Amino acid sequence: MSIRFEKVDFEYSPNTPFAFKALTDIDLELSKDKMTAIIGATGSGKSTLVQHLNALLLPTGGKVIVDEHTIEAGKKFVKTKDLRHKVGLVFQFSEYQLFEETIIKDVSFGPKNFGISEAEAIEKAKRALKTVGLDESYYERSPLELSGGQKRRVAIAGILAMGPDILVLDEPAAGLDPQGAEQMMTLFRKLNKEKGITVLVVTHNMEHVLKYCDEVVVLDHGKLLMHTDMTTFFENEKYMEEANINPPSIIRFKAMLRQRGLDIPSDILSIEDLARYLSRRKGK
Amino acid sequence: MKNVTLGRYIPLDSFFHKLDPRSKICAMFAILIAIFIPAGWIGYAIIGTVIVSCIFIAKLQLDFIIKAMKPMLMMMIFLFVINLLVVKTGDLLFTIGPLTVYTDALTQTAYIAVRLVLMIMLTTLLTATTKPMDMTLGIEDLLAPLEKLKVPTHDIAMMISLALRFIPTLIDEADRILKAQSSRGVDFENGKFGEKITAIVSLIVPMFVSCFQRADDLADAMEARGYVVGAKRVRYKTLKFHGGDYVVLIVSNLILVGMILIWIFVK
Amino acid sequence: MNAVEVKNLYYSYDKEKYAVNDVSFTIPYGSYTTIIGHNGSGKSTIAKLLLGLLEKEKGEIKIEGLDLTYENLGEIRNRIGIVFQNPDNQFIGSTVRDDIAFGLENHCFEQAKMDSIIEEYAEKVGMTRFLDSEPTKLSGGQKQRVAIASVLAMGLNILVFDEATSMLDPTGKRDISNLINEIHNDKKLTVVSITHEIEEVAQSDYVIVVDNGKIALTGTPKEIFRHSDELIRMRLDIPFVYKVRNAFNAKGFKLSDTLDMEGMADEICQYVLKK
Repeated sequence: MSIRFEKVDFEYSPNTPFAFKALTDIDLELSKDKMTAIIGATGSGKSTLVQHLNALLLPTGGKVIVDEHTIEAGKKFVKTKDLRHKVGLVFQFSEYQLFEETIIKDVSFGPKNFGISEAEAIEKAKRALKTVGLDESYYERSPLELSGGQKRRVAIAGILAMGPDILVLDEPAAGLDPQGAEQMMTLFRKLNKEKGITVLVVTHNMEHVLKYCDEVVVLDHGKLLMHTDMTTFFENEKYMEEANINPPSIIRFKAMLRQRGLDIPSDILSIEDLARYLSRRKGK
Repeated sequence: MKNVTLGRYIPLDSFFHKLDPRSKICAMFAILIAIFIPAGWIGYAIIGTVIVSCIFIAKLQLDFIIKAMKPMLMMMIFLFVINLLVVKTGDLLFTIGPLTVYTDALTQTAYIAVRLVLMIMLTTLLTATTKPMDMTLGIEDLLAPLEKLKVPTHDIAMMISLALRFIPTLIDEADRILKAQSSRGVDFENGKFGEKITAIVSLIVPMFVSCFQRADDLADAMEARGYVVGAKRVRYKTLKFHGGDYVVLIVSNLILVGMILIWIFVK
Repeated sequence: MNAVEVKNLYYSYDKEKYAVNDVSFTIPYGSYTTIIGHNGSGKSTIAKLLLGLLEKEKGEIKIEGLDLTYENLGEIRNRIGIVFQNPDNQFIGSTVRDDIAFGLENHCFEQAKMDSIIEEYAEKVGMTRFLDSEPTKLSGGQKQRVAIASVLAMGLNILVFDEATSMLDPTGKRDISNLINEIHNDKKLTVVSITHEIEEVAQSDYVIVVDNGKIALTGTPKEIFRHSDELIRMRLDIPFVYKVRNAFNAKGFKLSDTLDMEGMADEICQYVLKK
């Protein structure tokens, strides 16, 4: 059981004057049951990479393996529906995918497309809505009259109701206010840790990566720059420099304290832990 | 959707690219009328030669023009078949079962096909060498006399240019929604009739919502920058006639007159 | 005279509940003022009211002393401009050049002068190279630069930013906030920024906190951040240094209310290392 990219290339509109190579020679094995962040500058190929996971894009070179499915360049892939049932993909600004008259109808739309009976789909929709924190009073309301953050929750519930093993999110927190964003990320963390869903998040927010993710994949100009666990990534200034990212505040603050002669263990990654650790040292 | 060549502007540096859009539009209309004058094969040969040489002067590739014709191919075949069945004058050519075909059917169909091809070549020549924005300016200027009849020519021009500006944005958006719904198990290619309808609704409703949102934002942005519908504005870009523009106007009108003469005297 | 004066302002979208409820504030000339509040708190509505894009129900808005009324909307928009959140939806022209020209055309600038104005402001925002580029060829950050140039070129004194960086990537965000700081420094413009970026708030002169359509707090950043608990209750963020300070003080430290990260590091080291 695995999620693997083997020598994957991808080119948009090949053999035309608009051809554009978005991914080059990607070799990557993603850990199941983990929450992995996919980071990199705009145009580095993050969105292109994740769209391979449910065969929205097919590799123009190499192969993508998701559990029992293998998508190989140049070969016809027929199990698209099975794969999309397994891999739930939430797009950027997903609130724009809502279209049914009521929320419950919209959330049960996905499961029904995968051949699940009406009654069961409604059951799944109800559970998904509960997971994202929307109660019964929302079922019969129109998704269009909700606030931006609530709409996004409905859209995510629409994917969760499909019951995916792998959940892929493309900048799920973009445009939300800070607390809305934190709640969203906490939800994904919970889905990962409690329900064992493999979560992949494309994000620009390093504070989120630090706080919620286990592993980090860095892309740069369509190439894989590194794939490492979160602590290692943030402990190595060189890595962050290479990835051209601005370290999260806590990492910068730790560096400042170290410069002043305080040594701080690498596994301290939150303000609370730092305060606890240093107050204990103060006593000595 | 992104590979359509019909109507696309090709940024090159040529005599035609530098012309005033107004003269190009007028010349196009003159030749369009000329195409519809029944001046026989000699006439079409002249017009065809002129258009093909113009395409070369404009530095356009012939296969680009041919690609532009592809969407029209179905229509031509359709016309061809209808004509073969309907026209019953001239000499009898052959009979297959109940189907009889006459010589006039063939010649008339050929005429229509040639006219269509010439028209497409001509319009492609115009759109490929004129920026959409310049085209709008040209249309606005040419329609200016209508303003006296209370036709809001400026607003029409503004609407056209905004529509042109947002086409690429909306294509991207449609692409994203299409992918998002595909991820929810919508099958846009196969599926029964009912499923197809749902698939289309799942694309169109979000597109409407997003278009209205964008229109709202855009209206705010325009208003905030001082735009008032119907108010007086100073135009940044003004169009200017150069020597080449007069040449093009004269040549195109000469062709039109020539065709009329051939029609009257040669036949 | 203040740049903006708002007195007892009311507005509602649906007649059931006021989205802006008895709001009063003033924004001094040349200041950098931030307005914060969670999504749906009414802060963007306030921005649209300031520009006259929404019609106020009750109350008074004065822009550089001039009453905002239907009759002098044109004059108001000669004084105050706005940059919105979505880079795509405010790009009106078909090229950068046309987009900057749009406002000039509306305000009936002399045609002969337009080119030099366009070039001047394109240079100011670093977009000279892209003057003839179409929006599809530009990044979000570049489009926002153009929006800023377009607004500045009209020659106004007050600039409102309605979450102008929220849809940008980190590079774009950094770029645009640097640019805003730059134009604020050298032109004595009044900047009003509606934002979620708490570090930007920390650097501003004044802060207005909006909650549920009402003004909850106003003051300098330091004064505002003293009410950390209240801010968190209103679903707002507080700056990193304040989070550090709160966590450490809860453990018996006595750290000052500095907004400077380096200074905070010094204080902590003194505590821990002096024994």
